Amino acid sequence: MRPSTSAGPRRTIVWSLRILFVVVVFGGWILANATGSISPIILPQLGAVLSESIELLRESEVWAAAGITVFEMIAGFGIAAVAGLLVGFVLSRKPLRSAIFEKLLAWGYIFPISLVYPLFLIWAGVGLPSKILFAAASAFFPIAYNTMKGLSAVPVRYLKVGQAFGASAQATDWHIRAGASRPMILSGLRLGVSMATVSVVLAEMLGANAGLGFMAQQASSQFQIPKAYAVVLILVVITSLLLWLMETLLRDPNEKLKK
Amino acid sequence: MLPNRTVRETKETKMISHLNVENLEIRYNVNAAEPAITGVNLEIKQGEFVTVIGPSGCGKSTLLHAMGGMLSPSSGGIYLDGIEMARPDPRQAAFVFQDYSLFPWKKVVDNVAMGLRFAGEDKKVALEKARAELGFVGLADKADKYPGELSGGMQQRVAVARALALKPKFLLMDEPFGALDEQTRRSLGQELTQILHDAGQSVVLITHSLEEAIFWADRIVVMKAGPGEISKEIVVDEPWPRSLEFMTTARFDDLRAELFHRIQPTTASEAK
Repeated sequence: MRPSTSAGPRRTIVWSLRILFVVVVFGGWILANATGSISPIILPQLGAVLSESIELLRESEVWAAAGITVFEMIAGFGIAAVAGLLVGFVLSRKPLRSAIFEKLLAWGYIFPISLVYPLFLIWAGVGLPSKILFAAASAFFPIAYNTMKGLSAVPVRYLKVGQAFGASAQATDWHIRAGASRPMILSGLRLGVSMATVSVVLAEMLGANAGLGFMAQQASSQFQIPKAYAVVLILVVITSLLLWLMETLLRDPNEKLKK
Repeated sequence: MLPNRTVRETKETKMISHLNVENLEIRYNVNAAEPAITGVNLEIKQGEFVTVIGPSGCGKSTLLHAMGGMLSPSSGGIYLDGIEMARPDPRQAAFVFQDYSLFPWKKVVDNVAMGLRFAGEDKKVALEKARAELGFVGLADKADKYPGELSGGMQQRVAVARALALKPKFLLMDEPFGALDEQTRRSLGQELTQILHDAGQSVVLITHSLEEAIFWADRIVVMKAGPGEISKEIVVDEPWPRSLEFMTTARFDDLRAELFHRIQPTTASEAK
């Protein structure tokens, strides 16, 4: 069977609809401001938020905060990726190990780890280490779980080919298991990126002394609502860029063709 | 149609290899009431095209897997030129599976090179050989595609190229055309088997099709179930190349009728 040549909806349609969505959101925002139907404490003037954003971008303070936040995200994700891939690989080697730890990893996957963030503050203080560790802990579980599941669920027919063609254990791991489980591992890494970014911002808002999350929380507690929104807007841009970068790096070139 | 091809090395090899199956018995479970196959004796000479046919569950695939060193005999043994096949060695006997089993995450050329790489070949050399082998099966222009971009028939050709790239003494094919539609099955089957025959490639091919078993074979091995045993060996002395006209001859009809009666279950346990 040949794969479908259609790649789903046309790219231009998708992008047009995305732009339309943004227009609707901002249009609704402007309309709400104009009619006064939503309090400015909840939804400040869009113009005020945009001018506040431009102001913030001129300040070195916000760039320093953004640098801290991005560093925490990347460091947290990096630690989680290395540890998650390693643990997932080790656990997948023996069915007994997989059986023992599968539930634990699945539980860690869904557990709201922010509940235990205060413990991270106790262990590592309010500085960078606690944010990095918290982000790493959040991102670790989906990466480890998906890696273990992916490597454990390699179709027997591929392993049979390896056996029939005399593949060594290392060749089987590298060329067959890693290849067959790549979509699931990449999916875990993508989830890990999202978890790391969300966790860093959350951690900075819950207890920190630097970073964009901390800045947004400070502005909001001082009722500087346009500034809080402006910081969030900057965060949205940064996290979108990070996610796009990771999506590009983690893209499977053969994703659409695989059966 | 594929281009004309030169005779491959296998036909020029001076020493004639023999694959011997001696009093083979395989039990999947030591406590099983009866073995999967028992008392199997078979000799296959290099250059022979042997088809194996029999009812479902008679142990055809078990026999093939054992011949390729993928199953350990419970008793008896498999010997290639007198040396026991204790483990898979694709340079001696390479497999082609029914479901192709190509790696969808690798390009076609990498799939073909993979067997060579597993066998310790240098990457560059393996890729060169893989491209040459793809040319041999008429897929040179598909080398840089992914398997998912090819039809089922093309994928099976790639699987054949992957096995042939190792220049195996014996090619073990487990219902290689079973997943294809009737038309592709017939045309690809005829084309590939003719190529393999012309190249002097030794082949053991399992099939469920009476026509395939007769048309492609120098010799047909008929198996029966409960337990799996060889019940008959039939030599097909029709010269090569064979045209489709062979299928309309009285000799073909006689062979077909004989096979038909031989593979019918004769007992209730076989019917199961």
